[in-house]
Amino acid sequence: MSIKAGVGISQGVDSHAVGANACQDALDKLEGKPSVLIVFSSIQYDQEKMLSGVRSVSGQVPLVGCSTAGEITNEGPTKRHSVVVMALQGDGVSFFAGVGEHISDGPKKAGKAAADVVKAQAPGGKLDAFIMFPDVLAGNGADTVRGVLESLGPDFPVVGGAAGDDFEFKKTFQYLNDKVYSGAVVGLGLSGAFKIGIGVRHGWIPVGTPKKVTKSEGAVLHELDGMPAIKIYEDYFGAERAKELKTEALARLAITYPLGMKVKGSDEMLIRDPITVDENGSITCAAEIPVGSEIRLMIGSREEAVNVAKVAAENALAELGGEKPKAVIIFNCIARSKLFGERAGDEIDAIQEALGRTTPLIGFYTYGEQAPLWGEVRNMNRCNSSFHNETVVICVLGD
Amino acid sequence: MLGSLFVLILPLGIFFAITATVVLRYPDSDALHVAAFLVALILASAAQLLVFEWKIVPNVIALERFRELLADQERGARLLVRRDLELTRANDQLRKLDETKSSFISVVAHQLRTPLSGIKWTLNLLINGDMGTLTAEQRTFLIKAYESNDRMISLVNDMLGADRIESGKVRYFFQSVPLSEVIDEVLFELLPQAKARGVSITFASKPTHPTKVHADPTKLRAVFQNLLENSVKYSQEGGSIEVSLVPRGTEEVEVSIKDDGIGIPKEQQKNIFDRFFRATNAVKLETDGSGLGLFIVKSIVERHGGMIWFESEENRGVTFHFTLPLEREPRAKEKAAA
Repeated sequence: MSIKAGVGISQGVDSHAVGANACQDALDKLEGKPSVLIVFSSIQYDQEKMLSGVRSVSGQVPLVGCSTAGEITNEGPTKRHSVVVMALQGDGVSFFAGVGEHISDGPKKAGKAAADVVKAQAPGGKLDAFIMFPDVLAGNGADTVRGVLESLGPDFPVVGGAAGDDFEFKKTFQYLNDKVYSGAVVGLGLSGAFKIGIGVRHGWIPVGTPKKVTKSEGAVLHELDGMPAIKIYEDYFGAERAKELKTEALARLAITYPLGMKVKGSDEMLIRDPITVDENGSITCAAEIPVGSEIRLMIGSREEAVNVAKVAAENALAELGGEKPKAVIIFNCIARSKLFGERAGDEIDAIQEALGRTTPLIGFYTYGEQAPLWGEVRNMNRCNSSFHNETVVICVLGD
Repeated sequence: MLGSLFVLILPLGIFFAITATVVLRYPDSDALHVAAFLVALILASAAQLLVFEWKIVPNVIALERFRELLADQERGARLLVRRDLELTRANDQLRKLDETKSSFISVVAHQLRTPLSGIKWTLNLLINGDMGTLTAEQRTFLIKAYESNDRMISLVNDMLGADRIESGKVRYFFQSVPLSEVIDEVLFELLPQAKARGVSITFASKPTHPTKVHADPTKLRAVFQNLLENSVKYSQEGGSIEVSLVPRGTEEVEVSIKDDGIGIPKEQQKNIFDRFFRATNAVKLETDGSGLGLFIVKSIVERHGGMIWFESEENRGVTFHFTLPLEREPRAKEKAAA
């Protein structure tokens, strides 16, 4: 019983060739027959052609993945658009893949459908972990997670990242075997003799007094304490500075000072990134903020964000109970990529310092991360899988 | 007499909530006087006031105080985040400036390296007499020019080295390296320099010394070159330098390089590994130096998974210690397989 992985990367102009090369690279490094492929791609490539390129090399191996806002490998964040592939081989581990379509008709329904179809393939419906790639431009990501949990149980360890589209916020894609989807959630179920460790950290701390959400719809935060939501930024930074939130999507101010939402069962706040602000002062966040929630402004720094990435990696590693990590999958928020800019590699470097530089590593910059609060997977009662923002989620697999 | 009993009940309440009652019983209703009624009423009001003072007032005060604290907290938070924003933006600007400066240094250093190599090559030809016979005086001056050019080359190399470290461009190729051999080679090269200053260097390789470390040989050489050159450069005339190796467990070896030179002033010790930092007493000596050597050394040692530290007192020398990982002996099974 053992897990083995190989990671391939390719860049270029011809979508089919880039897909094929990335897959070949991964298979060459794996030196064996893969049990499953995980594919992350920039939307700069024609998605169908890219996937057919991957399939031309891989053959009929289960395949999952999605489009991203930036790909990550052992070499750090890729500097240009790329396709990255992880070929995973699990001796004694079974992988089952499935999709839940039409998130726009009901994210919860789609989440449940994806988990149901994955579960149905597993003997006795027994799964040990679930990795998901939802489209959050089509519907509430937190609801999609709820749908998955409705199928798998409230304390099931779910991890994943929302598909991206190179920061255009228009259309994202999900991949399952030979087919490219949009507005869907693709899931990968794992079962068998393996260990999984999940590290979840953001590194921001709350300042000021809590404000109550008095009006909101899904991810649109209308009012805090009966006032237009934008007032929280105007009060703290002045109206002039807060203007940048209205003129720029996921503005610098929003990334450096996101909102934090208090959640039951966790001392750490869930981050909510303001993406856009309308003329009424309503803030559209990257995930839902229910009425009645307590919101606070969060403060942090690049340095702390790098430190916590290492802590997250160490936490994930600790859950392998002394076993060496065999594969690393990183779901990292696009906001963190923007925050670090040219130095985004520092964060990945810190993670590799904890997990070993040669351990096969794949990941992508997401539009929202899914993971248990605090990354608890061993204490199932505290698992509480949730939808995060501006957070680094590290998933390690070991024997 | 039951029919004539008079009972007066006065409620004690706060904000319409009855908290207690005062009950006055008179055996005979006829005996109820207006005065007694008034006294009872006053008593009840006084009691009510007492309860109000005792229960409500402190609560109201506490609530008011709590509100003030919240307002203070909010004011403090606003100040904090505004300052934080200013600092973050200033920091971003500084970082950008630093990056610009680094790339400027990198470009300049690269541009300098080619002409400096050309000068070195030309001077070499001249000194060797390939371009015709030289007088002794001409030769002496050309050698001086050659040495100055060499110093410039090493300065440029330092600048490029530091720039590569910062931009994360340095690649390491780890292998099994015989430590004593590296030290001997560096010492051999430094011998003329040490001799000229009357400085003695002792390093006796003992059979008990760990032989091989897991390192990048070129980078490891740079560590010894930098530290030993510093020791020679900053030693007193006729001083002595001692190199020693001490195994630390089975995993690491500790290298120490001790000199009796000018040392590092206490207040500047914390900055000694910073880029471009040179201690004031070193600058005063008017010796060459980029202030990059120790920055490079620290980065190399740490990249090897080691640690570097030092002890020093001004005018009483400095001892640098650093650790390096030992090459692990292949296990019996691997040996057999090999």
